[in-house]
Amino acid sequence: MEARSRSLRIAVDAMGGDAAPDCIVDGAVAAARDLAIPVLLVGPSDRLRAHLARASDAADLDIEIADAPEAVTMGEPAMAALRKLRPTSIRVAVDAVRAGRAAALFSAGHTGATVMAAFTGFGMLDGIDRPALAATIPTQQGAAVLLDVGATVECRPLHLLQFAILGSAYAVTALGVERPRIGLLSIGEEAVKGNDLTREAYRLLESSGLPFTGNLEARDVYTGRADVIVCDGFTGNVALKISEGLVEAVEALLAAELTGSAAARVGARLARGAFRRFRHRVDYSEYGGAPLLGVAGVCLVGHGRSSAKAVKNGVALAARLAADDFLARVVAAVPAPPAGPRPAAH
Amino acid sequence: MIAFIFPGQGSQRVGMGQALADEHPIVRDTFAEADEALDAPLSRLCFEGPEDQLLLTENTQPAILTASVAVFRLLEQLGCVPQFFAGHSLGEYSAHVAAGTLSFADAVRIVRRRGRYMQEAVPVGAGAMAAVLGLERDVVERVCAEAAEGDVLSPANLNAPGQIVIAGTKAAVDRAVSVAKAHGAKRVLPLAVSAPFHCALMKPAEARLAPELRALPVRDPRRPVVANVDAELKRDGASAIDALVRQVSGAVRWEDVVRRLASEGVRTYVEVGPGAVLTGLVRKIERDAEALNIEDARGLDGVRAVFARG
Repeated sequence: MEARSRSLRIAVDAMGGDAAPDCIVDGAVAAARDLAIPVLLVGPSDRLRAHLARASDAADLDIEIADAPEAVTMGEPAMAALRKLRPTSIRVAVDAVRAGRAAALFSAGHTGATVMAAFTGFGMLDGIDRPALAATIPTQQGAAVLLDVGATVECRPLHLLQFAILGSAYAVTALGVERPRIGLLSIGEEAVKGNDLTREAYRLLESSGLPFTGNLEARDVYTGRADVIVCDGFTGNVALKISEGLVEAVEALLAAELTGSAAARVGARLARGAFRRFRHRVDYSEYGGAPLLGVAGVCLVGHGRSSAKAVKNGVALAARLAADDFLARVVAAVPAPPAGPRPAAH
Repeated sequence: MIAFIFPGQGSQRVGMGQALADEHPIVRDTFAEADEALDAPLSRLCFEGPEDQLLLTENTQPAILTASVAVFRLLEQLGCVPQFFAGHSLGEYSAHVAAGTLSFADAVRIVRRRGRYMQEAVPVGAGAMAAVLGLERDVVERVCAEAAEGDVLSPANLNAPGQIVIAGTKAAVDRAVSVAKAHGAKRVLPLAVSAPFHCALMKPAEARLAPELRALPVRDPRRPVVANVDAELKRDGASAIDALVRQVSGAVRWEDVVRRLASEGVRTYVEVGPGAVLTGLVRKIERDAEALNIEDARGLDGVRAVFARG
């Protein structure tokens, strides 16, 4: 019966990440062993084979290897890494998915290079012009999807409408919300507030037929007023990094309070617990990574400092999206192009 | 399609949640949140006991709810969210926390009071419950009608075919033992419960709990929750609360709940929380269904593998 069908194979960029290939291979092996997910490891085959040999049961696991002699290093500009057409691990991984050898890919490597490799290798979905990275963030009412957090730093209004469609399809799978409410990240709640980009995006979203709840001020990102929060990649990345930095700063301040008066110590300890819980939930890197949406392939981007456990989780999420036929859902959600009225050139 | 099902009272044990809490911060955090909401060390009771304290209804209910929600949150964080939710008795509250209808803090406090009110509705020893094995539903209903003799006596948990729990006054349940055997019951097992749940004797508890439940802030469930009282899909907060109110003195129609899920297309049932009672019941009700439970890391991996293959 269909419920007992096999998992689809996931390509793993074994050379992506600060601790590659050790942590990446260990995480991929754990996914194959514990979750029965077939894996395609992509990297220098000699090194990968040597590493695999350390796991005594490696021969029994469904792990294949695709040879990619080179890797994109973290310091390289993304475009430069691609223009040279080198057989890098991320490139070979994308090709393997495109050729049908794997159903989805996970990479904890250079984010820019992964975005570019997926963008050029998979191409964009019909009706979508730019890719978006979707982060899952905790809110007072559960969780929300924030996108774009860094794939497309320059956006036009139509791109934000497309991000809303993509984020909405993802929220259905990732958050289990049947009809996600969409908010537009801006300054001020009224339609006339914001800049040219958000004012025009507001107009497009309002007439899109999507459940649009209007502008969202930054302070409402964590209240749960919207399930999908849309913004350009520059704003989204700033929002995410400020949140991370703020939590770290407040934690440090609370730690300093722990040396104060007895009452302050008690208060600080309680508050610290609440902050620690928040940080555990905000740490999407530990729990699967962020999907790159809009490209015509399933691609999960993990944090550069992904542990083996994080890699296992990322592979599991990639497998989940592939099994859910996520791409087909997104395609079904995108209106036939041209998607809505094109905004006037500016 | 996949449903998450949440266990009710009876699935508790000292040490529940401990293995996953050791490894996953979100599980630990959830127990800490329950401690804060109740202003009592519930987590220590769950992990270390003593068992006699854990077995007090007003402790058991928040304890099972917390252990269940903790595992759910972990699954959610790992991207595993099902299409449907349901829970057995108390488990229906866990289901509504998972579906977002109720906040966890509100739920943990209300089930503590639910436990207390249900306990206080009937003097200790005045009520009883018994499991009747090997009789169909209509026969059990006849048994109850014959043995009642004016007392309260009715089916309380319609758990699975041939596995029905009855509840009522002590005298009526005692009479039902021989009446059920006369009707061909394979066995009748008195249950070691502190009160007769899910029968008309619980009306005073229902009356006390109803205004408190109705005063809670609720949202519409993000995915449908199948209710115990009528096996219907609850999609809005108001009808969800209504079902929780009626459930106190109404029968838990678990067999109907599972059949309803099956008719919606569910083929995989994941028991989220301590024990494997519901997993066993599902296998009796829907023989072809896949049923899994999560006790530890291996169980967790099993569920994740299910989500990975779709």
